[in-house]
Amino acid sequence: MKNGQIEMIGLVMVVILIVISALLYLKFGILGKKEVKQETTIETSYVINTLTALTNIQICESNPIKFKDVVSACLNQQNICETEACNYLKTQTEIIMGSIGISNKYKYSLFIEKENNRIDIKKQCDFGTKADIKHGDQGVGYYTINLQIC
Amino acid sequence: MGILKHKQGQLQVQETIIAVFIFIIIIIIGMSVFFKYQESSIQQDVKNFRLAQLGNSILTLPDTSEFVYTEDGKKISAVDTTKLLSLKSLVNKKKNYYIEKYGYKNITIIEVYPKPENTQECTEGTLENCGKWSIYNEIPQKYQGIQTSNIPKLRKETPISLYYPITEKFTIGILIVEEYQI
Repeated sequence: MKNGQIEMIGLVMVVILIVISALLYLKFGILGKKEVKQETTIETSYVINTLTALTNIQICESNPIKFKDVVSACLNQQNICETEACNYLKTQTEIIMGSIGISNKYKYSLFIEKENNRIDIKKQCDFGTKADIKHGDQGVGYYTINLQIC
Repeated sequence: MGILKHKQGQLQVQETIIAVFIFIIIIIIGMSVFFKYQESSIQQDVKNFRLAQLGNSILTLPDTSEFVYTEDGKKISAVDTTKLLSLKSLVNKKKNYYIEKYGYKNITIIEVYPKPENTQECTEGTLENCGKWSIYNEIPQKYQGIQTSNIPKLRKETPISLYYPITEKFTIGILIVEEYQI
């Protein structure tokens, strides 16, 4: 092979290497950035659905009462199902979350907030995807039930 | 002298042909490796896209008119179990409409809390004592006859609130949507 030919092939190879590097940069540098928004939306919806399902159900077989009303009783330091409402809420939450299967996939925190008062039913997360539902009325005041997964 | 020059010329042409040939082979190998990589990358992107689509459908499904419980026309965040019964029979009657709407999917709801005594399929007759709602299942033609567990599919699930209008009770179920890969 002549010198000219070798130089030409060398030049073309350099060009090819540059093109491949540019393509790889495009692939990983620009297009490679993962879209996390979608996953967050789905996770948020998962938390909202769980919290809604949780607040809708009735607990205490002997005298059925809505979960959200047990929360209210907990805030007012009352008894439910012959047990202190907050303790009853803790044991029931464990059972329900276990049934849903959330405890196998995530760590979670469930807490109630009323004005500056916060009661932790379960605390495993400091950060994560959170949803809350507001309940109550003007008479007894408003409280928020929060569920956070991480 | 003329013959020698002619032979040298032939040799140079052959050299060039070989160089170009090797060069083309290198390019072809490089391109095929690159496209092979691109193909698997695109396939992964398609899978991710379909998973995202499935995520979207599981977000919206419980809120659609076929599922959602309404009180005085107002949507409540729960699935109406009597509507599920109607949907199950409608799916069989208007098959084409629902294939167009849901595609090749398997939509199931399993009641998890309170734990049902019986996990049998929920129908009009077993509504009081059942734990599973097989709402929709459309398997692509190419997988007909194959056991459902062996068909490649994407799966998403979310907890939902189930409402029983007859007893006016709420329970918790898991909505499972599986999309068969075509």
